[in-house]
Amino acid sequence: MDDRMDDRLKAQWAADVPTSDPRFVLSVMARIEQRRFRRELATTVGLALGAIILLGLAAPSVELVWHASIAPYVSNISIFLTLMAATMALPLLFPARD
Amino acid sequence: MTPHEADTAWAHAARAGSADAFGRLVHIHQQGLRAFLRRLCGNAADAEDLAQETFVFAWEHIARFDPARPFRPWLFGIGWRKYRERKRSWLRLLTREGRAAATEASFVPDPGLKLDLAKAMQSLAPEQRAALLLCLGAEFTHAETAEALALPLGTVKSHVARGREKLAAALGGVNG
Repeated sequence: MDDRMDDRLKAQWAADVPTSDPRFVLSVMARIEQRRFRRELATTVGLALGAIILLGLAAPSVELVWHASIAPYVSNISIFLTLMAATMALPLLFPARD
Repeated sequence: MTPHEADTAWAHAARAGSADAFGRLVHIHQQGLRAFLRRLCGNAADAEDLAQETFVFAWEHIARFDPARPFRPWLFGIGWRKYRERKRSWLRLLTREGRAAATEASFVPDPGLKLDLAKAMQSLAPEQRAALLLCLGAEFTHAETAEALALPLGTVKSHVARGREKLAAALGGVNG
């Protein structure tokens, strides 16, 4: 009785399996990418806002230190190059997954 | 290479961050998971969305997967939990909207499904339905089913036996 019932159920379910769908795989991968993009965007915006606020708060002290210790010894071009190198190095230090 | 070994190899690569490897896992398991969720929900559109959510969750939490264990029960376990979350939020929504008849039967069976069986399945408790679907529909062992549903082995065996009896009674009445 149990076996007959099991066979009947298995046969019904086996006949009604959805076909393998490449579009389903694409939809899943697209959803994963969308989530990742949204998460990274939120992180980047959050970090940028944090940095702006920190910089705004620390600006008076930074300006003092800047004029007293850095500006007399370093040229503007070397500061620009250092900032550019740091910007280019960031994605290498924190690579995106896959 | 056995399917289990292949799963483990792809899961290892996915854990290391390979989206291609995870794509392979989606390709391999999509049919089984979609069939399981479709029969669990009784509605193809909900099931497709849940299956996608399940895979997305699996990718985002792939680090939690233990490669020493089989991948399939882990994946179907996520699907089961997603189904229960979805059902709870759906029932909450119905209750908020004042619809008193927020019952299991509110999941409208797809006309494309075998209606007798679909109706009979919807009359089972969700755990019984899931246990039957995994053991008979997806060829899981009782132990794998217990792992996927996070239930004790004895409970799973009892769900399968009782579910089978109820289905036999329901289908016997319809189909003779």
